[in-house]
Amino acid sequence: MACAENISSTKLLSENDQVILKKGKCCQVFQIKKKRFVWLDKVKFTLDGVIGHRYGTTFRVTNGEMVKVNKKELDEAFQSTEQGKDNRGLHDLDSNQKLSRDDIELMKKTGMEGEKIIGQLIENSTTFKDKTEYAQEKWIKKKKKKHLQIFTVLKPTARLLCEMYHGKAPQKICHIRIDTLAQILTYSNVRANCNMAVVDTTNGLVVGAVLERLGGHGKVIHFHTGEMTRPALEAMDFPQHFLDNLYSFPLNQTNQIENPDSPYDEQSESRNKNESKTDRTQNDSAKETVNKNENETESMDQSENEVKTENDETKEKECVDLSKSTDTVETKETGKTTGKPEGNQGKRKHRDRETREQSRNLRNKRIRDAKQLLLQKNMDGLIVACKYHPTPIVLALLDYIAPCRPIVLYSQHKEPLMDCYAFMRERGGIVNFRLTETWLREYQVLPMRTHPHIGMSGGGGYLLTALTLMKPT
Amino acid sequence: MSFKEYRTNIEENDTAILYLGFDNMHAIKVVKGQTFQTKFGALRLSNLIGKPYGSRIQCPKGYLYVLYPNPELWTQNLPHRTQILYSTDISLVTLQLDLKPGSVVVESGTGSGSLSHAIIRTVAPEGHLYTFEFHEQRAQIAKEEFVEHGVSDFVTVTHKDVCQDGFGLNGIADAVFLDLPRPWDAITSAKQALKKEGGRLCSFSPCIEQVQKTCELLQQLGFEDITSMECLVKNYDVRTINLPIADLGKNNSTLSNTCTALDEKKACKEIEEKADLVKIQTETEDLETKEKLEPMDTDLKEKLTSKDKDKSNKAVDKNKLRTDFDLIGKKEQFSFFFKTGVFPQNMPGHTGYLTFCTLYPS
Ligand SMILES: C[S@@+](CC[C@H](N)C(=O)[O-])C[C@H]1O[C@@H](n2cnc3c(N)ncnc32)[C@H](O)[C@@H]1O
Repeated sequence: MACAENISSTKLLSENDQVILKKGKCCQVFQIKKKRFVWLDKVKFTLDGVIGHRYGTTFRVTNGEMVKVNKKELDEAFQSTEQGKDNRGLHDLDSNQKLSRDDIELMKKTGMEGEKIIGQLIENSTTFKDKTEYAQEKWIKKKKKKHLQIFTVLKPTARLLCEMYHGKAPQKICHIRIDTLAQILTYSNVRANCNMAVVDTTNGLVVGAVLERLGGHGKVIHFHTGEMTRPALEAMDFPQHFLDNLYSFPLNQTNQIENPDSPYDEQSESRNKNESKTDRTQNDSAKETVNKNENETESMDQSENEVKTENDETKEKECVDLSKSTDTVETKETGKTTGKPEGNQGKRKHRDRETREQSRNLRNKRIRDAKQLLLQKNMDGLIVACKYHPTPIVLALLDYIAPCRPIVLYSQHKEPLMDCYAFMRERGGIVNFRLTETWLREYQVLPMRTHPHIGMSGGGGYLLTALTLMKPT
Repeated sequence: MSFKEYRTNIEENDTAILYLGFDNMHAIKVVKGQTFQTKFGALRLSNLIGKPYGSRIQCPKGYLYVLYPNPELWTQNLPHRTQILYSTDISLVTLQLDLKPGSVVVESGTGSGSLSHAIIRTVAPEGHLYTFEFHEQRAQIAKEEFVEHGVSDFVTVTHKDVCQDGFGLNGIADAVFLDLPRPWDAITSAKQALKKEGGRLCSFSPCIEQVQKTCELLQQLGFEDITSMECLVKNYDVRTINLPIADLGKNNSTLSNTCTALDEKKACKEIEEKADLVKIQTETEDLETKEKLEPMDTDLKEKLTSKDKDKSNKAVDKNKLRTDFDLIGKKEQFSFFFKTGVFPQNMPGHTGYLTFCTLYPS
């Protein structure tokens, strides 16, 4: 099971690994860098302490460092003796808590441990001892979540990343909810030894999820638009042989797949050099994104006000670093090497510095290879999960899919899929259309207090699925 | 034919799916000399051999398509020996259990093998499914199906009462799935089957009382991130609907005039709304989109002002207005046509609760 090992949990945490820090339902992706501070939940700390431990281990931030905790001790820390019977005597007042917000902030700043802060809060609460046992439990749970800097370190998976994005920045993944992503992966029948065509503007979440299901066997052609930032894919930290199977194809070259004279073909390569100026602005957007990124620092936590406060140097550094790592995938994929320190990417083979042109040739070769693969018209499935109207995209790509293969189209709205359905029917050669939406409800399960969660997501998007047929001869 | 890879042509003894229409499919075994009765008349199965999958096959009274089987088509068409899990729940189980090639999964009971086929598809070729069933015949038939479907290398079927005797597995599984009437009797053994590096567990139960009892035990045994959920699928039928427009009786002005005046008012309002919408989006979307949307914004505003100017010229503008702004459907004198997704009168309102949890390394 050599292959599974690469992404399974048996590996110990080491520098440069991508990890998710999880606290309750809150998740955040980081790359482990020695002696580098990260910001999370208003606390600054390093991740050095997690190195050498297993994925799934829980740590507490103590003096700016991650220290492994014993979970059992944690649970026993709070046992209250005094309890009320019901809430008849309780009133919601600010004055219930004698400590002011400033007092609490001060305790935090002086590095007081979370437990002590909560202990202080209990002591200074006029209502705590009158709460019922359940209410006390709930109250402590809430305070713990707020004041204990305790994180479980996890391997980023499609599941965790989908939950993280959907909770924090759903627009970055076109509002795909986890149950919808699950249907996409199932109905596309993606598994080892498939070659998949994937149109993805979900920051690489869908492409990453597909790569995960391929397990290193089978190719993915990722049709992408200008911005080639795929932080979700990158967070999944795939081994090199997975990424060797990933081809990036500019969506705006789709109509040129059959054109032997398009800018990526060998014959025209020399011509390209002469036209390199126009070429760069038109087609070489991937590279530009890399540069742009260094200034723009696009990363998950940027949208999180909590994580960042203004003019903080360390934070800024980390942020840049996160975004810089965005081009790692691109780098890995094309074999291009930037001038980063060698130790940075210990996992992958370090190649000699190559010139810009060489790396571009390499990327163009990948695009040509992808074209060759498409021209065999034998792809094992098409997934479209993007912010664009799917109809023209689907009609342009259907011809490259083999017979009896699944087509899975996602849209945040159902009307575009209805349009797509009409056009696909008109084209013919496709059966078993299904336009669906899934509904997801979570439950609180507690003795005598089981009920659906009060809040739920209103919608997770729509899917149109179908199967291709032999072309009538 | 094999569930683990695609092949081009139909071979003898393949399992194939006959597609006669939406929700009218049959899973058949292509046996020489046999015929299969369809609503289009008899189909001689030997005629299929050698034809490519996805071909159109002529029958006496109509035609059908032969499809290559996959776990979803199989779930839709398999012979039911028990209640089964359907693809909506199966999808969520697969993703929530982090299944991928190489995963080792423990499942009980096997039942009709609906979920098993989907698990095997995802964990092959390096992974393995250990599936347990205490009904001897069900275990036997499942075993035969896995051989017929070319996936027997990736699955071990064991005839066993897991509640009484446990799985007998130690620290090998990445994930455990339970679809049992008394899951709590199998959870201790399930925990033992999970790798010491940790893993995921899912229990599927139709009744909330089962969920309650399961969750209590899971917590006691140190499972974390316990979440219970329910997932349903809604199928939409794409239809063009024709709503009649009511006759409101005689009006002082002519009918068409009233309509036009209203339409125009509405259309103008819509533009305003749209302009607002675009603005909001512009603020929240990233830079790139902003550039694209801004010209549109001014475009719309221009239309708005020009419309105001043109108000005196009602008659000229009438036709243009209709085509431009009947955004949702098409209005004619007596009816309003529009396309929509119609949901079914009846749909499954409950399958079961899925409880997921994680065992972290201790
Ligand atoms: C609802 S069915 C499972 C269906 C299956 N998930 C599918 O998708 O086809 C439940 C199965 O569990 C089996 N079962 C019940 N109790 C069992 C036990 N203690 N040990 C093993 N199998 C058991 C039953 O015989 C039955 O076939």
